[in-house]
Amino acid sequence: MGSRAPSKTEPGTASRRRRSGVARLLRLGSQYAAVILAALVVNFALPRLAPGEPADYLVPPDSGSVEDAVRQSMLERFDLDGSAWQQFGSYLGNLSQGDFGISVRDGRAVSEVVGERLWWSLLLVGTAVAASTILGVMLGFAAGWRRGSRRDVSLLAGVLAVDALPAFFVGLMLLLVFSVQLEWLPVYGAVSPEALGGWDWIVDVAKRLVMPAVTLTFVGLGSVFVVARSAMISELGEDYVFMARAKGLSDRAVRRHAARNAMIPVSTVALLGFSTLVGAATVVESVFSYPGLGSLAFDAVRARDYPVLQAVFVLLSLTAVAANLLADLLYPVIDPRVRRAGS
Amino acid sequence: MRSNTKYRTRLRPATLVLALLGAVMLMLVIGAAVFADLLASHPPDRTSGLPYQSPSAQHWLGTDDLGRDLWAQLVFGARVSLLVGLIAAVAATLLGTAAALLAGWHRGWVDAAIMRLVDLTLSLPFLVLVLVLAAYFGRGLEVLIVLIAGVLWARPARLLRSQVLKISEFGHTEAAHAMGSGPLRIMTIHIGWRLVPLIVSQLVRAAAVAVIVQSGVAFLGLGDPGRVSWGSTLYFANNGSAILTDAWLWWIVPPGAALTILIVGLAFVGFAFEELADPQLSSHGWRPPSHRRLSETMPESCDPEVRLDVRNLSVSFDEATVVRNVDLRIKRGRTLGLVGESGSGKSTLGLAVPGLVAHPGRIEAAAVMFEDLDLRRLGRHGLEKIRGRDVAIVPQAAMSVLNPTMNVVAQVVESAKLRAETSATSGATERASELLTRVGLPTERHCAFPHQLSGGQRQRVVIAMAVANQPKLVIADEPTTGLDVINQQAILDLLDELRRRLGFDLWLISHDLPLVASRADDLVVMYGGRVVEAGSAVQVAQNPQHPYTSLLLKAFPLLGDAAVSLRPVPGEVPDPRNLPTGCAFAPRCPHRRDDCLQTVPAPRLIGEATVACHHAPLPQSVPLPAFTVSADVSSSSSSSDSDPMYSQSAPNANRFLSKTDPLPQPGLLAASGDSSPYAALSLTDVGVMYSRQALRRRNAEAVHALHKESLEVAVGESVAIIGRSAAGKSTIARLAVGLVQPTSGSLTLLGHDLAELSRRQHRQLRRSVQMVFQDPYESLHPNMTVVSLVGEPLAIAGMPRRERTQRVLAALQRLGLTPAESFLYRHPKTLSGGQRQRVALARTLVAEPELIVADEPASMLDASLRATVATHLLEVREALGATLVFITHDISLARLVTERIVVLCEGRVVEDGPSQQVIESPKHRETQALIQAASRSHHLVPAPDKASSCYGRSTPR
Repeated sequence: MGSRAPSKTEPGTASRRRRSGVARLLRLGSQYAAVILAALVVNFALPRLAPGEPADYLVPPDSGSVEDAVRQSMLERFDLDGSAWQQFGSYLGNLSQGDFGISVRDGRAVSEVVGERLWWSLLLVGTAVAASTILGVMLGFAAGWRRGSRRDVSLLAGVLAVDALPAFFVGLMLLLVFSVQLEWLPVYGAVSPEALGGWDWIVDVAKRLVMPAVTLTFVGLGSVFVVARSAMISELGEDYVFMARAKGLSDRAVRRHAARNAMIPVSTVALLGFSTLVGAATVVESVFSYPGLGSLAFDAVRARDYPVLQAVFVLLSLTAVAANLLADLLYPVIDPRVRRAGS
Repeated sequence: MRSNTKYRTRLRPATLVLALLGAVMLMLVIGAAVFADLLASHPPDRTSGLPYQSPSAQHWLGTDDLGRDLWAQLVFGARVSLLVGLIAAVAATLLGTAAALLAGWHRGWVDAAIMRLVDLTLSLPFLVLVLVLAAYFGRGLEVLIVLIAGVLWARPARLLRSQVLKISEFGHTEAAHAMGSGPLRIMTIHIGWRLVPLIVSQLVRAAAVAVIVQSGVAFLGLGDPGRVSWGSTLYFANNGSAILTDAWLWWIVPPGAALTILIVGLAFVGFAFEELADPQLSSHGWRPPSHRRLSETMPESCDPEVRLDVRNLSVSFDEATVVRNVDLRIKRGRTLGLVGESGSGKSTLGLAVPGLVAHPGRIEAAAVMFEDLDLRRLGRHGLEKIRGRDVAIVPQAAMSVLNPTMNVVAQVVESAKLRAETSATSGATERASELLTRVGLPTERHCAFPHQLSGGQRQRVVIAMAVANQPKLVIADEPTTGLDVINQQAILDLLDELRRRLGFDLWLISHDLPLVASRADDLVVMYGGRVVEAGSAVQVAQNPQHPYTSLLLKAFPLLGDAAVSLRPVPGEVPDPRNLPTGCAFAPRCPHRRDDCLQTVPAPRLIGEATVACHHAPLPQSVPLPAFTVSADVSSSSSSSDSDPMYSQSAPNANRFLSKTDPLPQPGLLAASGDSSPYAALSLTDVGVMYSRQALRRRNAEAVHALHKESLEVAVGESVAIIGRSAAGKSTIARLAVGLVQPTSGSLTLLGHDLAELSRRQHRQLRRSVQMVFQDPYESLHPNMTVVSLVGEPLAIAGMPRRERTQRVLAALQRLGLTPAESFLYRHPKTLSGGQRQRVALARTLVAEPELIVADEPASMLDASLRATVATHLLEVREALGATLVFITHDISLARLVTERIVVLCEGRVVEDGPSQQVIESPKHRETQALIQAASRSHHLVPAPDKASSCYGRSTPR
């Protein structure tokens, strides 16, 4: 679209010098700052956009038992009395100090409630992301390497089918087989109260992690597999692969060439998949009563515990933004064509 | 002829099976949803029996905790899932497509804003977001659908946008833009049409996600309380602790399986569409070729003087035999040149020897003796051990064969390590560096990545890899294609020098007969998959015995030649699937006799050359018939009586332009008193700078900056702009058709200062300018038929269909595509290479432009086709009386095409004058260098007494 070309052209030789690594980081940083700010605004605005007064959610008007004075004190406590700008200001101020407010459900500080769930969530989602990425890449590359072969077709059909299984269904089936029927694995939670420490504790945590992690890995497997497979196929059609063969490299070395380039799209998908899995974890955690952020969000929705909900939301947004940022930073490491002159 | 780069767009059988399976699954669910009332005898959401019942005749799947019929819930649940899937997916995909088109079209800040919004949406945890929103906005199914669509649009938007950006730079989109097409037409026909498969696959994928999300929300008990869905059934099952009893079998499994069937069905169907959207995905994987029919007789004792002896080799693909019964031998210490037009089978032959013909290629041969080793008997791994060691290959398009993510020295190290007894990396690195230095890559560039090197430098790296292991034979397949004349000479010099120093034998494969003849000791000419002439280079090039060799030699414009016109070989290379029964060249041969059409001529020894022709030797006294410009090129066309529509020049060609926004009267330069009132193209201090992003997206060498240059092309003039790669030649072409905007200075087109025109007026003005693209095939939309392709400029100008078709027919006729009616409804991919070129030129013809800009037309193709295109171009120009700007790096071609030559060097005009004068007394060093390179490569045919010094063989060996 040539008529748009001026917007892409820059005057003079400045363009060559302008793009040092620092400038790139600054540009990335400001973009991500904007995204984070937008996430915060959404989070702040959502309860206020919803029909009815925010105070109605905090103190349901039909509860009857709450006096107007109590209601007023609640409003003050949750910073809901001042103008929208004032509210936003104090919201940001509190956030910066790690103060997410107080849980409506049990009166504890939200940061405390969230804090005790965060690590379990990271463990579960981290395991699933790692497992689905490694497995997906391995299977995807294996399928793409001999495209159209029996192995490719069966892997393809198998992974697509596994990927399509609804997470809660997989979870229920796993529970049914391994906990109810075979009684191999414990059913609920992340760690049993009896396991005090040391080796016992680790074994107990691992045992309780297996089923939720497997379920969540299934959720993330398909997209990584499909991208890895098609990236491998399209790289194998590239001229440099032909060159690798022509210069006498073995199949293994040729595969290494193709895999290196195929990792570029795969890494993006794997990191973006992080936020998908965080979301899917909600369902999985509730099936296995795993004490992560997902089930916290779910409980908060049911109990209308909006301060907790908002905190979870902000936290998950930040995690997802961090994953995106990591993908962006990783990109020039994997693909030298994106590297700038200065970096 | 690399079949692994040819993609088939139809679905592969395995994918087809998946797609059908998926379709059956979807039909099952759709059937349940449609016939739910008939299938279930109980209401799904009201108590119809006792709670917790096991399956019975009354309740096929039993009842739940409230006594509701589970079978009814199963069939009615399909409705909810399909409803959500369909509506949310359609809405999300529409939204995503709109966002993608908007972002891809407007670029700049619109794009940035949309993409940040996409990032934000994508980064938010999907299910949590839906949960949170559902908590605030209510639990109704309608609300949920809106929420899902509002979150789901981002992924398609992102994927589609990158596709929009890609398609915007396809040849046909740029061509439409250059033709002055409006945004609506480009967005729908050129971009939208090609997006369709991707849009469909995204739609299906979105549907699957929507179904998953809805059932997840319902499973959590946060769904629409008024509706029974599979998710809600499972919610009640989970709460009713169905897994602790036998009830799981009829309570949990059926809805779970139903969901799985629906989602798997969607995934399979979506996957099939994805393969359609990306034809590369449906290409063949690489598999080694199959060698067939090993003859048991060992060939007679090998001549120690012969390095490579190929006997009776044939290569066939599915439908075509590309190489037929070829004998070829390379003697030690001699360079072999293999020559032929594209499609002659020369590259396939070169690749067949080291076993690099891809599946489904089949190689048959009586013997492929490499010294005393029969390569046919080595098998896959044996050949692997030969490649890169004893037989090295410099593949075609060597500029693009390096791995973009590895630095070049690492890629050479890989080669260097192959033969090292210990795979010591340090030694290999030193050796690789040494090799790179030897091929002339400066030390500081050794660690560069391929994209940081010029085409010539990359070519050198490939050569370094080829010679890394003291090869005995180097097969160089078109080592100079894509390089400008100066680089061509430098690369050939390098190969020559390495050959002498390292003592390998060189097998040069090229379409450039004079170039190869000047470097090789022996020449083999191929046509239609067979060898038509073989002999010493001097013999074949100076005294060709086969009519084809003779015509091919004449097809190359030579600087010193007295000829004043282009003489392409008439007709076209035959399709290997459909070769003529007799001599393959007979249909194009001026000496054709009856027996040529009947029998394939056997190779005969004539003098010192082997010739496969019935009537060789050619009578020396009889000169070859002269091929004049217009009559013979359109080989099959007999009606040369000119069409009155085009015979007069068209001073006001765009009379049918819409009158809504008339252009201001040109005439700004009228005062100058010239015969024409204004210049066709005038650049005043025009500068163009490309940003890095723009350079990265397209081939950085094809376009280059321009430094405040001025240039004027008068109306009716024909001007060649020459220079080496990256000199800024193409930038001028792209400026003229509005594909690039000047960063500074002013540009006047047909008397209009572009700065003063509105966007709309500029578009209208562009209709009077037509561009002939480097690769005319790419400038043809693959889904359009010839009639709409050729008629596109007229459609853009708003001409009614009937009149359009008439003009298209006339133009096809004129360019020798006869009978024209038979071409109207064909797609570009069903046309031969030459026919595509003519279709592209017919489009230029019907547009009746005042200015034709040709950007290195057919430069990647062989000389004969290039000459054919140039000849047609001249014909079209003559018919229209149009101004011509001809971009090329080949000065000898420029001489025959244009009256004036402008030499460009690093974005600056360094010489400008009448063609004859520029060539006879070049003033600038650059011009001299271009002329010298051109005469070196093509300095063969003239006076025989000078031959010895021109062969590049003055040094005795």
